[in-house]
Amino acid sequence: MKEKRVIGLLSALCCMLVIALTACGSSPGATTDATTAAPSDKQSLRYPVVGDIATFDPALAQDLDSHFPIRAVFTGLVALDTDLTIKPQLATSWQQSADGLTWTFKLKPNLTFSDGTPLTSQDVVWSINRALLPATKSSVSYYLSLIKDYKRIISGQVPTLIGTSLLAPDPQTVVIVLSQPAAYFLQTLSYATSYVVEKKLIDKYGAKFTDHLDEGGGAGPFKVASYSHTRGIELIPNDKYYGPKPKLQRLSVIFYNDLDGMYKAYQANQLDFTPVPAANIEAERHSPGFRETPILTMRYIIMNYLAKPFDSIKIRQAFALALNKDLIVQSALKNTFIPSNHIVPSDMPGYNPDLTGPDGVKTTQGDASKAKTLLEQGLREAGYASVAALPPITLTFYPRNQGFKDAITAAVQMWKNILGINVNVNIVARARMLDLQNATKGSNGPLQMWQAGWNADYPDPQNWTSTFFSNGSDYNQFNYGQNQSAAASEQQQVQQQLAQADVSKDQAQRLKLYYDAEQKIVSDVGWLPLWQEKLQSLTRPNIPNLSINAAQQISPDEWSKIYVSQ
Amino acid sequence: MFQFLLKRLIGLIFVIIGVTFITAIMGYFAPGDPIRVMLGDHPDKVLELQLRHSYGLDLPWYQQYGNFLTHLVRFDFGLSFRYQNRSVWDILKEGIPISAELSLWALLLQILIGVPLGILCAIKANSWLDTLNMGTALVIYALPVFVLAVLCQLFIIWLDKTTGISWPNSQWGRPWYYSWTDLQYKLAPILIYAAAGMAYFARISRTSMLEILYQDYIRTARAKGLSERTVIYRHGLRNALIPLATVIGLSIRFLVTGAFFIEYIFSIPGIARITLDAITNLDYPVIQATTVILAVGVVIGNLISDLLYTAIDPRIKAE
Repeated sequence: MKEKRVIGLLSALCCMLVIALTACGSSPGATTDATTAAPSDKQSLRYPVVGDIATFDPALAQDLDSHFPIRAVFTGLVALDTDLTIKPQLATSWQQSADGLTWTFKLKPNLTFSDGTPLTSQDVVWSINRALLPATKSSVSYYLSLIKDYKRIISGQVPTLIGTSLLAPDPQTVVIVLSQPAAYFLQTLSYATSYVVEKKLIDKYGAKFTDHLDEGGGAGPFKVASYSHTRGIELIPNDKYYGPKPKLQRLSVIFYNDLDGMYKAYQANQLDFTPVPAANIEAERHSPGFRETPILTMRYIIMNYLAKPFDSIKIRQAFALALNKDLIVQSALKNTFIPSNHIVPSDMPGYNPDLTGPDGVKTTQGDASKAKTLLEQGLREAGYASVAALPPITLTFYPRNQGFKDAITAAVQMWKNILGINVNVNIVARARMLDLQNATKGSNGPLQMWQAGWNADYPDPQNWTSTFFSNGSDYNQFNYGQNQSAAASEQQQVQQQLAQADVSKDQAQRLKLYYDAEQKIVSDVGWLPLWQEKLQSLTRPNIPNLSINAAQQISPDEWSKIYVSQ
Repeated sequence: MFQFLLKRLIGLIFVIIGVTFITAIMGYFAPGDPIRVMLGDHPDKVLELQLRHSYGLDLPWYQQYGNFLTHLVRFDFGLSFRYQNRSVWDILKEGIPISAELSLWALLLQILIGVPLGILCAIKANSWLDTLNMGTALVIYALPVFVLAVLCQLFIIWLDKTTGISWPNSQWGRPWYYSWTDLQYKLAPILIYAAAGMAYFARISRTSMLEILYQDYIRTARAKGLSERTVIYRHGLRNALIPLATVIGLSIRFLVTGAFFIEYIFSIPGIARITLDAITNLDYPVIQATTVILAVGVVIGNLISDLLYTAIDPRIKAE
């Protein structure tokens, strides 16, 4: 009798599960009609981010996941368009002074925050100043480092820059004074650090204002309906937005652990968009809604100019030309990325399509015979009797995933096969890698050779060249220019050329200088570029216009084009 | 009893001091600098110094530890490094109810289904029912929970693709809400989490009950003519529950510490996931806080386990 009861109970549980599963409704049939918009109650997009987001405060955000809702809710003087050009947002026009140090912005008329509070130039300068204050604890305030007295304010030496470097002479005018002329200043303003936040809300709630964004706070195309730190953010259109209004009536930003979680949720019809994890790209390549977007992320190998044997240009070139990047990307990374010889990635202003690899090599397949010749010459010039006389060589890297490990293994094997050089591999955690990189600046160690990556802060060649290769730059941890190699004086000339390009107002002349500098750096193997990354994604076919630009952003005005079709 | 509780409470203070000291020392001397991790690939020296100062990381380790203990008395774990400007407690209080809910329902299912199933199998030892149930329990128990979880997610995807039935395979609804939508999120992780434990409880109950059923006093009870029901429920079951009390007591700590695999695979924003995120991002204040909570959970779980002993078997005194 008892066992019947237990069996009955188990059967009932199973039945309840089945009933529950069947009762939950079916997924809508995917339609591809891109012309007719669905009714407004169906205009809803479910978009994933890794969450809880690190912050909803534009002054603090540095990761892509935090930036997605921030860029939907907040806005700044300018923003990037789909093709990565600068487009006015709160500003309607701007002027640069003759010395390039003072920028004057005119605001659009009748701007308001999403709660209806007027947005004036006072709000703009207050927000930028807030991002720089030590009390804000922003780890991204360096995006505003061009502003005069940046270092003094972040170290607490001056209480404010309002009235000196940040001025609001009238409610429609913002004046920003720089410490040095910078042709890329507008690009730096496209980063969220300078976005405008509502003072009233911060005065009321302090650092916790991001938990109260349903009361206002931003002036972007959407406003917050609700924000749960565990589930996600519900956004609705901001009817006070100055630009073209979004067609979507609801944008659900849903939190997941990682790409795998998002991808599985997309497959279970819980999302309208997902990035595709590396392991699933081949399987999805022909699926409806699959898209590949080259993004502004490069991976490369760096050789320390102060560490032997990499003080020899010919040995560096030999290492570069021994690599068949096509083969590495094909075998280890399943063609998910683009092999590259470039420092400035494709799909952004400043990309030089005519750039060649070291020693004029045009392909990304390397050149084994040239590599061998260069190595022989390099050994002779540097006084090494043979390869055996070289000091031990160690490549340090932080493996982001198995693909990275396989790619580095393939590179090490190519150096062994072509050059006969054994390269030891040292795998470290990311935090340790950052420590080691910092310690290497101005020294021949601890790093001799390492793998690194860079994701553009803003799409300007300055962010790829001057940032890394300038004299005194904290990012120049591989000692380009400031070393004892024979090429050092030529490198210093490149540094001067970069400094000239950074301030040049003539855009054509500026690009020419960057092109030339990049070519010289690549030939010198300042970096050994490996590949440019791509974002592989799936979008439901009934959302035809959802496109993410190479900076992995959706520009504010683009929201007016995104809709759900019937 | 009062003395017993007092002793445990004093013990708890020493446990907290011990675990916080170890985590503080490990955090301080471990390779990797949290401020550099915060700055990522942007090595700005001035900003680095400023941030180090703002978070009190420019102080010697003993001062940092002292500050931590001082704040801990006020139940203040400080500010998170990753979730900038958010207090650690603010983060934990979002995760704890979710982990507690997941673990509580799973534990209840484990006890309410696993224990009776084990007892039933012991009573019907070596019958087809016993073989079937214990065989199934062995398979479920042998399968790691992360395999079960992924299989469940794949089943949900298959269901959507083949039948059009849509069901969430990740995330969690509103904690402690049971609308249809909330239930949809919660059912799969709870059932998967419960399944492995259910099999474990069934096997332990069966073994424990079988051992009791062969004791002399059970034979005596039967010999003096007591009904089988009385023999099993009054004399057998009560004694069989003693080893279970230990297991249940130890399982209670999962109410606050969460289920790492389940939370990670199902993207459930509980305390376990918060801890994993904190470890990845060197978010030491969060790591320290979750360690304290884990320690408190273990001590309280043991305490409950001891109290259960005394309730089940009065011969054991809580001293």
